[in-house]
Amino acid sequence: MSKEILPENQIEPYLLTKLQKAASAQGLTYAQVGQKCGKKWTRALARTMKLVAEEAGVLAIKDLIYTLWARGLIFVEPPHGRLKAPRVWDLDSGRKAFPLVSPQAAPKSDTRCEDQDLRTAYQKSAAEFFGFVPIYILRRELGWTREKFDRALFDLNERDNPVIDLLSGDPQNYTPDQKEDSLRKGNDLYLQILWREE
Amino acid sequence: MKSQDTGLPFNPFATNAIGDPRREVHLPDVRAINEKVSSPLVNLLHQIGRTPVMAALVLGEAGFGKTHLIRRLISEEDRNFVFAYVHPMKDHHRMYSTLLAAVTRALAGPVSGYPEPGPTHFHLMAAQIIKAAFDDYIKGRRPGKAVTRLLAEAAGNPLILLKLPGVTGQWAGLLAETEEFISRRQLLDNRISHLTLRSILYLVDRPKRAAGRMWLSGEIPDDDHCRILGLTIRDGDLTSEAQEARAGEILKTIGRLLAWHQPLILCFDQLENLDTEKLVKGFGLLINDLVNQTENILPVGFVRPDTWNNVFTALLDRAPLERLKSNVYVLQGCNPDQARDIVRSRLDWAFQGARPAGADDFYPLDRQALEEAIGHRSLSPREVITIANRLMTSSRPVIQTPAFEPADPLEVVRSSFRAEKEQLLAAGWTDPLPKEPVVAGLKLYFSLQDAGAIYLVEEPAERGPVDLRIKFSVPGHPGEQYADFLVETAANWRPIQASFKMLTNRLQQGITDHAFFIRDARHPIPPKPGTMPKTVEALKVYKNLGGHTVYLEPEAPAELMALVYTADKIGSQDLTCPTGPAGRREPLDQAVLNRFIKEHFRCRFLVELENYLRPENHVIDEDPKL
Repeated sequence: MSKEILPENQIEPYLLTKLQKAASAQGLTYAQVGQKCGKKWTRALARTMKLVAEEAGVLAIKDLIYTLWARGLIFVEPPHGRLKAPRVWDLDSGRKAFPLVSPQAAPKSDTRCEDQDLRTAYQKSAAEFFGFVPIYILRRELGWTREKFDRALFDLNERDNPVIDLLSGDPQNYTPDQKEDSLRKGNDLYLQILWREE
Repeated sequence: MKSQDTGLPFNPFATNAIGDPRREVHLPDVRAINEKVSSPLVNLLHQIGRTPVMAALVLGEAGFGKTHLIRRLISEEDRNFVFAYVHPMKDHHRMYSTLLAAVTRALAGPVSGYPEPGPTHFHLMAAQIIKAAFDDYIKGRRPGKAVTRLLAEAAGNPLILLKLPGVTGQWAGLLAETEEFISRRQLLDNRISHLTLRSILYLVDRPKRAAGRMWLSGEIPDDDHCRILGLTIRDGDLTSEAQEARAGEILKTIGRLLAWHQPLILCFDQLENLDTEKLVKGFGLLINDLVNQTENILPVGFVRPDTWNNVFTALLDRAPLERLKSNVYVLQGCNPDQARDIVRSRLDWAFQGARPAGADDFYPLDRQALEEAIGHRSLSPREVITIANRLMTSSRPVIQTPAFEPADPLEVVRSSFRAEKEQLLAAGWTDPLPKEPVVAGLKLYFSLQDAGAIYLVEEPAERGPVDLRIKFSVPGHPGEQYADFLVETAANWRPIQASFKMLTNRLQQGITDHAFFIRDARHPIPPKPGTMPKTVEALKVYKNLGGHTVYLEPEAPAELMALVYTADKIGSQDLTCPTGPAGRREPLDQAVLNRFIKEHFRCRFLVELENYLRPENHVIDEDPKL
């Protein structure tokens, strides 16, 4: 019987959901994250990271946590005092537990790099579309994983000073595959982005 | 209803997206939102004259503040410029005539800041032109004390010159001098431009006012008015092409004369509703002419980006495309700070200084819930209002309002229709009857695109010279029947007589089974007993053959126009309906409008008309909800 394994694009959402469900006063250590997410998740992580081991261990989880933290998707409490290991929190729980510190991490170099790539792709088409660039064009141009691309757009939109607007546009002007390559959030379909002027 | 708990007199977020910029000028404005669009647009107006070749384009997604921007421009109007609002055009044969009607309506509107009844823009324009001519006339002469005193007063208030027709016998001479003065500046280059200047000056002279108004409408005046204007009608003046050319020339002259008043901003709103290739191309030609040949008028198009990118860029010729592209402004969503400002300003507006002591800026909303809903992202202004409305209606028991119930889309259409109709009736009926929206309303009524459609509206190529032609069948009668409609707005007997003869011919030759000659009830035929003898004779022949005349009271055109303007709002997604407790709003579609027309729209003359055409299906003329 084959062992159960999560699809690659479910790794991050699954972890974030688990963190929210496990919201507690202490947060979770890296090891606890692995336990909460279970083997189908650690197997998927190991495969994605091309590890020799069948399941991802603490170091691999740490790498993933760092990436998510750098993108501002989770809160990490560093070791201090009697707390020997870092603790991981979902953003809402972290915000409640540590109201005096920013719950959002500053963008790190890899995020800035993604932003720059996205900006470059946007600028290629911006003049043709008067700034309202169809999302499917950007997705196809960049060729990122679906999750990476979606997350990058949401990251640019979900800020105190949003960098882009997500626009619904007119679905009648798009073919089914163009709509498929656009952006969905719940029931909302976004077809274009507009890079905001400062 | 005032809430006993909050002291809030009404819910400031409960707008049902009627979306009419002329109607909602009282709503609070958050200047920071789209400031980068409104300021440059106004600055562009100040450049007119220095860089004459200009047009502008505003691209904005539905709900991103387009209506708000237009409202802001309207509120700044009197200080800087004249604002003319152009509804989406429906007939590519009448684009200049429609545009002229919008411009003259704006210029005939009152200028605020004067005691009632205040002057119109036309009055101010005429006063400035006369003053300039007067100043020029006395150069090198030695005017008497009275003239010197008058001109000194006129320097501060040129409107006092408009009192002269009643107090001086020199008025006619002064007008002739004024015409000469303008001519010398090579601003009047043909018969039409001379008549246009004269008509503007006649607007301040009561006995001649009606003649001036009629000329400025673009229609051929009747014989009495022609005599006043010194106008001789030629056969070539009667065609629709001649009328369009005349409207274009009148516009050009008005543009030149605006140099003595203020520039004019022409707002072409809801361009998504130009739904045929001919209308889009016609709009392009119009923009080209306005930019190349008309001074002191800035055309600004408002359109959704998808429509622009997919339709206009494909259909417009290069020249108008380049003109519009030269000044493109993009509407952005608001950041969280601006979103909070919208909520705060609406609450301030509703409380009007009567906020309970100690209450914070967002009272009575739950501040934390609001912060969470706004979050860290960009939102359209419509989304912000929707969020606030959801919080307002869901935060029981603090606010005694009912929990969320999905709104009836039909009610949203009905509200829009009612609001448009009230506004049209309150604004007074323009003269002449606005033909284009009336025809469009009739077309909309008869062309319900659902399964139970009874009438088939003929395509323009098949309808011939009439404004609308429908095909239908009647039980008990073999074959199909046709009905022709002509909306006649002319004042002069020649085009009216020609219309009767054309309809008579169609009845005689069996081209149509029914003919309806539709006209403004204030302009019966004949206008006075004993006048228009040849036209009355043509009317008799027409009636003897079974032709009908329908005289419209103000209610009927207002209803037809309200229907068209509501349909335009649906076309541009300006009519939305809340569909869930999370604050989602969905744009309404054509099917809701069809249902409204079918089940609720009861225009009295259309009911009578239908009862005549299809007596087996008698409709009762009553709907207490409208």
